[in-house]
Amino acid sequence: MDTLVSQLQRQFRDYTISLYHQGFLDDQFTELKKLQDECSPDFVAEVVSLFFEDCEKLIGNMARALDQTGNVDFSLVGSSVHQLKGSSSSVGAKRVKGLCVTFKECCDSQNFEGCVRCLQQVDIEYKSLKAKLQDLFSLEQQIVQAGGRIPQVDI
Amino acid sequence: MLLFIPFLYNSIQYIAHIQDKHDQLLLILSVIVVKCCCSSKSKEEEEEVPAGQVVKKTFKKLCVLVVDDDRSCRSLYMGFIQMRGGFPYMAENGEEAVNLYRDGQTFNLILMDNEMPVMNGVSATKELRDLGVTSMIVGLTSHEDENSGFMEAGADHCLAKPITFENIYLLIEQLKDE
Repeated sequence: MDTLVSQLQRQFRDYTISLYHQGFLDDQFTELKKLQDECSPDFVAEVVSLFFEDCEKLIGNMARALDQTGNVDFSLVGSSVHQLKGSSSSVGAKRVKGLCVTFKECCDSQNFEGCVRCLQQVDIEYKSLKAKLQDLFSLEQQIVQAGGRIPQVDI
Repeated sequence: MLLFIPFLYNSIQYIAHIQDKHDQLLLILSVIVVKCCCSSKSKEEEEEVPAGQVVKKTFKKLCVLVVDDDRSCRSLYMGFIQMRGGFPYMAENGEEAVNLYRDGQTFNLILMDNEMPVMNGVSATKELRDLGVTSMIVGLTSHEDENSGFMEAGADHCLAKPITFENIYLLIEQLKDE
């Protein structure tokens, strides 16, 4: 009979694998996990929290810049996109990073409709990732509270 | 007004960048909490060693300056450096990095992003070399085009982002051996 801990661990393992297979996360997130240990048990959560705060700020910057109808500063938008691409690639946010590549191309070609579409998609994507990682961290907490250890997941 | 205040938290030396009063208040509260939690041993050590020599003592360890305007990137590199036994410091742009050296600070290794506000990485690298700085400077690049700019400015190496920790392991181990 499965214990609560083993059920939670299996759930955690399956959910983690699904996040990679669905393209939400890539190997860089694995690198991030390597830095988490007993001395810094919340390291990953802290770093991604900073990332999501920066997402919100940068997306706000981009939205304001794109709102200047007829007078859009595409280099300003592009600068924020570049920053978001850098930080998303550093934390392993694969889909967000991919969208930033397309977004940057729209900025470079001054494609206003393309930029607006990309902005909407980036906004949806980072919020989706944020919700999924919150679920993942919640599973971790449940495992620890149930007296278990967070399993190593090989992707 | 920009204000740089060095303080220790969890053995990591932070150079805090105070931009407004809200930051200042948070920092003051943080420092008060940290000072209350500091061990007496560290206080005794500081009292025994004359103020001018505390800086030299710290620099016997491997000190790494992370220069990047992105907070999550800075946190990542700093976490990694600490895990490898280094002492991470941070700056948010090239000008802050240059000012640290002008103020007499020095580091074994500088991890320098390129695209940053105020002063980019390539410009900061050139200024540091013009100041006579001989620390190892590694340019962190988003695309290959940035490599030549960094190397011409005097960087020792370039690493493509996202940085693999294996790359940084090798750099830190190399510096430890030296």
